Amino acid sequence: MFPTRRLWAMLALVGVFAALSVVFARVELLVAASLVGAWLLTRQYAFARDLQRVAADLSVEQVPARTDLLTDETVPVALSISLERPSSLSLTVEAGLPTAARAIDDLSVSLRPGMRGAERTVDVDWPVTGQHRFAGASVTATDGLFRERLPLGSGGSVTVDSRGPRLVHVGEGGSQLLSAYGDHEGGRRGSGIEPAEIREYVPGDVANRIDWKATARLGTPHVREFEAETERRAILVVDHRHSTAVGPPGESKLEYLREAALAALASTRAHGDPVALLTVADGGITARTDPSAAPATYAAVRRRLLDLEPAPSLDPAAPLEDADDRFSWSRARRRSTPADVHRAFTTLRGEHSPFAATLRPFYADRRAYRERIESDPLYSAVSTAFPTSKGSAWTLVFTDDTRPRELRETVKVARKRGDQVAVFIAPTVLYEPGGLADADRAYERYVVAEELRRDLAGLDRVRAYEVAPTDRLSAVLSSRGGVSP
Amino acid sequence: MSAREPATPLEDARPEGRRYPGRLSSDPPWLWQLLLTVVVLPATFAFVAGPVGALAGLLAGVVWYVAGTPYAVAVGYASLLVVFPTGTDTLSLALVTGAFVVCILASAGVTASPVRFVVAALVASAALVGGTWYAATTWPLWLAAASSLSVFALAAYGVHRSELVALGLVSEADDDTGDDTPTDGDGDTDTENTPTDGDGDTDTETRQ
Repeated sequence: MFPTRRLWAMLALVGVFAALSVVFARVELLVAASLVGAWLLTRQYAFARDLQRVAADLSVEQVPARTDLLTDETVPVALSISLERPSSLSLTVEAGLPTAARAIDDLSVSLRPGMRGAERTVDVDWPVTGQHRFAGASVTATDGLFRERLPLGSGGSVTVDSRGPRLVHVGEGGSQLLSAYGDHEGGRRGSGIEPAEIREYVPGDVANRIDWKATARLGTPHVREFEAETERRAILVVDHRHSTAVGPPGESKLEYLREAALAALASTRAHGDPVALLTVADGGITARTDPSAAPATYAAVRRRLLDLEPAPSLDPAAPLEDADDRFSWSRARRRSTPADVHRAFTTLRGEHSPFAATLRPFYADRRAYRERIESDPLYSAVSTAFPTSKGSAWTLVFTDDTRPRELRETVKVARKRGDQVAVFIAPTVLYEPGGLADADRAYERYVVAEELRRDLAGLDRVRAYEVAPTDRLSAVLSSRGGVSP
Repeated sequence: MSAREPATPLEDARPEGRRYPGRLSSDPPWLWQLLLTVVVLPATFAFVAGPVGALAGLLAGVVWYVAGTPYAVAVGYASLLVVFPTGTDTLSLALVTGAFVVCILASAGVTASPVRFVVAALVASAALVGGTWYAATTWPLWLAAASSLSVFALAAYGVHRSELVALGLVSEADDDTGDDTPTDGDGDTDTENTPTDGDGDTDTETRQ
């Protein structure tokens, strides 16, 4: 029980009258002081009684609109109080919001004397991940002279999950991929520490390679072969053009592609292979890290991947994907490639027959197509970056399915260097908000994306995977009984 | 019901209607206020001191209406010094005190437990005023004043403690007479086990 300023004033009055009674030797003033004291005692007693009634009658509820949230989400929290019987006390109830919650406005309600209930709803931000428990509400009661604060009621808890991919599916046609990057067969013998085989000695083998134990055991000279230590460079090509921004906040295509790229990076590091990074936006290459197995390079690549954001579009009015390009993919993929076009056009240019004169304009048009492909940033980046790379390398391309022709040409140019290529594709239909509203339409679009993946996977030395949210992919597949296309 | 306006500071919370600074939410209804202001206090003072007393009673009544009981008591008894410069006789003092006790009792009607309120008011008035009168007539005035203030302070503290116990607001530290705060052997307080109140803050509030 705490005094208010008015109570202090009255206590001062009691003291002053008691002092004046002594000064003036008048007992009336001392009686007056005693009477004011009696009045204060009575009010104090009445306040205590009313407060006990309020504590018994008051019910407080703190109810968030939802209890499972994502980081930085704003959710209204309602604070409601009700009294079984009206009270003569003024009440203020403050919600016991968790420390990690940030209310846009003060979440408290006031109840004037005679009122029986009040409610207030305030938007609350939840910036911290974890489970947050509401503390009991704090009730402040006063009658104007005395004030008391007591905890009352209890609240539930709110679970805040971090944004970003939680269940990432990397696989082929709905089947989960177990390992995309692992040990690789070198196919060569040489110096190393991993024993490969024991073979009989042949003239020309140096003497110090003879395995004397095997020779003693088998009776004839034998030589022990070892697996040659090899390394394979991994070139991570990550597309972060504006089309990869599709998806809910924190769950865009780029977020999932980033998870896949980080997993590949971790696997590369585990095997001690050199890694290079190439990030591509609408304007071209945005970052490039030369191949290296140094720990600093792994850290730099990881940092760059984590910092990657979808690039703004150079032409905001342009659609995210070329519908004609996507849906004519099945036909387009059977046509000649830019390399074929270039070769045919060169051949025709040297001929002067009527046949060549007739065909030349058609191939000239196709030549424009080749030039367009060459101007595409992903194709351009992969074809021009690391031109001098020699030896075993694995190019891992992380992109979406909005530009299938460009992707196909990109994969082929990456393969030309004699490398293996792995393509990780984020199907747009699995990321678009509302993209699954029409199950049949979503399935058809997924089939188109799957055709692209299979077409790429059909190329020599190319493996293609889809990168998608597991739940949304399952939803699409379950619309057709869970059968992959 | 929705209350989206900012919370009202509680110390400024006053009953709807009349907004005089001394009024409280549990002040008596208007009929009692009228009776006390115009009838009881002026009549009592008039009976004790005549027309001048009636004016003093009316003044006390108006102050009671505007500022509340303590200030009315202050004005009423101060006016007695003017009306009776050489001292107030016992009967007059008793009558005036009785009138002010009625002022105190007037609030009983709007409390949750009127009977308890009346009993509490009568007991407090009888004990404090009666005790003060007895002490003033028996001991030196300074000793009587000190005694009265001491009794008042003790009674107020007793009500405060009983309220804390009734509401369960007494922390366990208050119940422990010994100092059993955990230490780590070198005399330092072990703060790792300091209890918190659930919101991350160290619960250092101690009710006296």
